Amino acid sequence: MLRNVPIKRKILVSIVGTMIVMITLVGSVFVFYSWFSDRDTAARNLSSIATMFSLNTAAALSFADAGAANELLSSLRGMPEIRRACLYLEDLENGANSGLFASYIRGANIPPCPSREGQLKASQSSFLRVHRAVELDRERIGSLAIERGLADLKASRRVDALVLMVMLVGSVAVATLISNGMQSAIAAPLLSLLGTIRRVSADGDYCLRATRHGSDEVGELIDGFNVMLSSIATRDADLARTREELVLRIAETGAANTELRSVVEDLHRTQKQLVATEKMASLGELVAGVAHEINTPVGVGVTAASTLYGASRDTADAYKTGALTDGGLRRYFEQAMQSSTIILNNLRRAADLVNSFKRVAVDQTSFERRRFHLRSYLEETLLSLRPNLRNTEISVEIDCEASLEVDSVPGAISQIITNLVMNSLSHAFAPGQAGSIVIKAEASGEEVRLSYRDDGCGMDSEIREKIFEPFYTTKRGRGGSGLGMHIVFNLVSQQLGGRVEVVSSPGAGTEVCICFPAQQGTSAPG
Amino acid sequence: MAVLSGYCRVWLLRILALAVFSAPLPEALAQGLENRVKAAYLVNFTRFVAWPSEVASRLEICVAGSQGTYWALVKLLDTKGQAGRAFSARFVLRPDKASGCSAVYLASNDPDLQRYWLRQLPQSATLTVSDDAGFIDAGGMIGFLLIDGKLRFDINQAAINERGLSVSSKLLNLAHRVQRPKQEGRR
Repeated sequence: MLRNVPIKRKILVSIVGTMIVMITLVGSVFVFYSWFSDRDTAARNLSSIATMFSLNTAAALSFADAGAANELLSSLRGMPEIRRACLYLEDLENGANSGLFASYIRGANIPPCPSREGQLKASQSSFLRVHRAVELDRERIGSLAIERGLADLKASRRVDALVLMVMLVGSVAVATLISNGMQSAIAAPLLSLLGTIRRVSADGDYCLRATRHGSDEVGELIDGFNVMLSSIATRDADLARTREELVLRIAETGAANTELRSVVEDLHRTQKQLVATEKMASLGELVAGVAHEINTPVGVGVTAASTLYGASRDTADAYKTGALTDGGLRRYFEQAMQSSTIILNNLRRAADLVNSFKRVAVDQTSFERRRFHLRSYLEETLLSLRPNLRNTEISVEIDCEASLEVDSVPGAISQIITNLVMNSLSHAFAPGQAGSIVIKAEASGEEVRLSYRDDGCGMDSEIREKIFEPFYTTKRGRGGSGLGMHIVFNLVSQQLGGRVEVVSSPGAGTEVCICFPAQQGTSAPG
Repeated sequence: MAVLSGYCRVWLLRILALAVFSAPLPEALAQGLENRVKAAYLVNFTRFVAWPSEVASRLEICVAGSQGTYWALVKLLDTKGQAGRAFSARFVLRPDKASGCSAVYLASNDPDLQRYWLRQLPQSATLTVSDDAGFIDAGGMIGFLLIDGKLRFDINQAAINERGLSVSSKLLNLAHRVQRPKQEGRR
């Protein structure tokens, strides 16, 4: 109810209202208390008056002297509050004599005593009545009833109430004055604080400070408010600084991100370059193998040709000089025939080799899809690897149906086999160690299952899990690029559209299982 | 003396008459209103007198000269619950037989007889009551008198005080006439 009332009014109401309530309460209690206390006193007084008169009238009653009794009772005239007194005789011997014996009535407007005590009306609020037995030697000879009006008590209560009202009015006036004084003492600091708060919230100027008027709770409140303002100002400054820092940091982070992105792009580029380089490297190895392989027949051809040339020149010289004999010519022909046969055979062989290498090299660089016989292609691939295998004790065996024909990417298969064999040579077998490699291929439904197995040293699970990761190698700095198996994985998954898994444990050799679709479009992903 | 003996004779005759005719009829004798009122007054008088402590608990009221008053007294004491103190009634014929009486009522308005009794009664704390106003002037303590048909009494406070008794002011207030002590003032 008071919640939305201004604080000045609250103070006024609290002081004046409290005053009114308290004075009314105390005054009412006082009036009621004094009413009951006066009534009680009056009752006690009346009781003692009754006792006194019952004692005094005993003699008159015992001697049946009504005149004396009336005279005695008439002395009550000195007490204006006594309105009526009735003295009754109780004659045990002669009941007929019992009844009103003497009485005192004050004023004409008061009814006379009834003839029997029992006919007295019950006590009323307008008067008090006391009954006393009149006794003589502890023998009841009569009874006295004295009534006392309450008008005097009521009048004095009216005076009390009047005084109370006057006090109330005076107190309200004084309380209003006091509360006016209190308003400036209590409300002024609060109103000043409120003004400061309004200014602060309107202007957002946290440098304003409330003025402290004293060291009471309001003073503490103002202090606290000022401290709060300070901390808000500090926090605002901190916040602004932090925001600037954040902007700066975001800019930095953006720059770093850009840089990182470019680094990652570089990395990807480098990785692609590395992969390409690796491919080129394997191509280089192929070329080296080809050169070595061609070297022998070409060399034999050269030797045979030079022999033929020497024989031809000798024979021609002999013809010019005429020293050519029939036998000599026959020998020359024989020699020429032999030499040309050797030359022809060796050149044909070199041509075969070049064709074979050309096919593998073209496949390895172009990754064209075509239909081919898997077994012969595997053999051609191994042929290109022969220079690497020649100086080892490792045998390579191909277990594949000659009729198995697939429509796939031969270059990828060739490079996969090359990388696997090179891995086996560099990781599985120690230099000079004997071993065997089995390449097994078989059709399995619409898929081809190509199993490459060596009986080398194998690898543990840690290596096996990371084996397809790019740049992962156990021989860094010793010729390992860490890309061989990564390229295998890429080729299998991207070029062949198949999947690869490695089964290996230390000492138990390594098996690489590659499954890929046997026909184009069966399950090749993009 | 002759006067006295004459009175004695009268009394003797009365007593004889009472013994012969009235003895079986005490109820009848007690019927008289005056006797009953007097008996009640006698008892009431003793209640407003301060008695010496040795007799206060047991009072004997003696009646001389009126069988009716005596029987009325006996009947009154019988009917009344004797609250607080024990009352007894005795009929006496001669003053010298009245020793032990707390109060003596002489039912006679004869001044000579009254003076005789006053003289002959034991000089103890005995309340003396008799008829007629002249009794207190003769040295008696309480005298009955009839005013407008109503029984009243005079009190000789001086005589009561002389015998070491004192009488309540309440009783004095009711008295028709009070003879106050001359020097000691009102008590």
